[in-house]
Amino acid sequence: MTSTSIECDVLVIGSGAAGSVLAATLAELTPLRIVLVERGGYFGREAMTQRELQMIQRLYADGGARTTDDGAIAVRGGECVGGGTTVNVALCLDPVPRIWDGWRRERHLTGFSFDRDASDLGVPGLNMAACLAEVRARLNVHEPDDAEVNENNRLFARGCRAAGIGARKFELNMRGCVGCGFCFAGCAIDAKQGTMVTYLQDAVARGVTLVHHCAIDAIDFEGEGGARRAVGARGRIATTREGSRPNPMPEGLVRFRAGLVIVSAGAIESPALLQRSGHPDPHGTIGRGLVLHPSLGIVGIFDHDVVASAGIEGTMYSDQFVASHGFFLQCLFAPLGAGAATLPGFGPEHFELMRQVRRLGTFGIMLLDSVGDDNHVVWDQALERARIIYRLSMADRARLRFAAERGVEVMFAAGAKEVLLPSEEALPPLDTPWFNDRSQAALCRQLPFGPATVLGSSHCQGTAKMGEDPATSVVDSRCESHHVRNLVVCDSSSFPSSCGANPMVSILTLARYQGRRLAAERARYGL
Amino acid sequence: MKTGGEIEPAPGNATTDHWRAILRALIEAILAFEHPAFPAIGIEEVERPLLRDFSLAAEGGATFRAGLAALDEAFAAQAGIGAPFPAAPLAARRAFLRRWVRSEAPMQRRFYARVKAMVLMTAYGLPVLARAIGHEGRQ
Repeated sequence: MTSTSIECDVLVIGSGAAGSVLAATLAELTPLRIVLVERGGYFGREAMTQRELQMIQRLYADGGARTTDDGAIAVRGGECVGGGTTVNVALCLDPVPRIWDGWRRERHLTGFSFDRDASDLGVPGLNMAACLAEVRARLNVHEPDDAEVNENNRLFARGCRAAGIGARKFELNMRGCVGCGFCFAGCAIDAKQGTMVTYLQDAVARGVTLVHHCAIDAIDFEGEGGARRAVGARGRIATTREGSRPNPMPEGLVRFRAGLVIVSAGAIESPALLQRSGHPDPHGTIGRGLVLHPSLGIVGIFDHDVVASAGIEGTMYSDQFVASHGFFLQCLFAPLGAGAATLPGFGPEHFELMRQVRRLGTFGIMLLDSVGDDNHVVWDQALERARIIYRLSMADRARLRFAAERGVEVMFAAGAKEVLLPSEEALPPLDTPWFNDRSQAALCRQLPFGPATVLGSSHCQGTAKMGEDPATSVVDSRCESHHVRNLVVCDSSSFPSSCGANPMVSILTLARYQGRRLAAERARYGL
Repeated sequence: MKTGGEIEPAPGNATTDHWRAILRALIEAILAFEHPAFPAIGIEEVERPLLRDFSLAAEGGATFRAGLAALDEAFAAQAGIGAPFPAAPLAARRAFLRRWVRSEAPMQRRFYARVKAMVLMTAYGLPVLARAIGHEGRQ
């Protein structure tokens, strides 16, 4: 088997929302030799076939089959160049200053100022507001025109208004979207401005080496105790899969030697990598306190055509209940096959429902779940994969029931004649949560959220938390490991709790911020 | 790390045929070929693109194969039909699959969700089925 050794100044592990931005920022501001590795393939627009099953195999972790250990929550995550930004639906919500201020206060973080004139950590011009502005400009974050709001989203907004709930437009990171409805299967025309078509291109143009199909087995450390430092990583480059762009490195074993190692593999794989590398964990903090943003679909059957698949999937949302109950209502519609998979049942009854697809409208609930120490990610050496151990807390279940009740009311208020949840669980006196009258929304107060209710998650966070206390966190305000020098963990795992919104823009902003800081403080790492 | 691809059964291999028989039986149970409005297509017209886009032998296939085998074994032990899953009547297969929907065993629920998603994503990617329900299909 071929064995390759690569020397670099900075090794970035993971090319998603954080890794691509970090690599691009460091390449922009320093002459450092940077290598960016990605476990998944490099599937550009030419490979986006809109064949749903094929694209899920190509773009998603575990071929789209990843779930919590109990199977109750489908945990979707992009595992490809661009990561989650390649497969998401381009919904952009800015970082929430109130949340970051809370983290600074409770976890004694320094920096992360939202004052545009601030110079955090003594770095001239370093602040979150400036980094956010740069990220928004690079991703072309903008509000869609009214004409781009399709009938499904208009009905959602109408339902919100009729139910006395505020609704507003999302901002989207798109440029020239044609509304084909296949965002989740990768954009076939590069209209979605994920990191694969933005920051990654910037990085590569500035000399960053991208190595894909590269699974990192472990980070290499040298020294003991307080002198322990990261010096590189080792792994394997797999055969380039059909449809992927070519890899610059041959398949086989690979060893990277680096002055600084940055882990940006996401909130499932980042802690798993630290654990299997033998990163010190004296307080058991690595992987603990997983946040998932569990989501639940609400499906309405109307007496007229909605054709929700026509146009941009998500353009409207409501944050009416964020402050009071910690959940969003967000309008979305899945492509035909994925949507079919979320509808309850199979066989003739399912087909009967599918025959009404033109009259279906959908939106979703996204719960900002609380942090529980029992919810965690753990690397299982025997299974050779990360396990996701997660149960909704009683308080979160209560909030989700409340949210479901409101969601059903909104869908009826929008004009739906029947409303159902993607659940195959009994809800007495109903066989399943399939309602034909608004008054039945109150039955949601009894929803068991047992294993036959399919919840989803695309927003894993909080498994290598920032904080200045090593007893409760993995990294500090600089995203530096408390226990290993020259090791930075920077991605959604760094968030101490839910970031309070769809996390993409928050992750990119954090990465831009830390990238700028790393460039200014490179001497700190001997670079 | 599992890299997959360790099992690549040859066409006509008895083991492969067994897995495919179970898969075909599941495709028939999950879809509604008997429905009068269902287009005139056969199971193989769904199986072929499914196996084109998801290789039973490649990465991720091991877990799925294990699920197929577990379903078949559980059916033989519990259904009381006296026939293996692929040979059982359609109603019996559907009744058994419904038990897995609400099963206490996470593996059974995960397998149900996965095979349902795989079959439906493939089937509704067929223009003939998309048209049959009034959907424009892929752009």
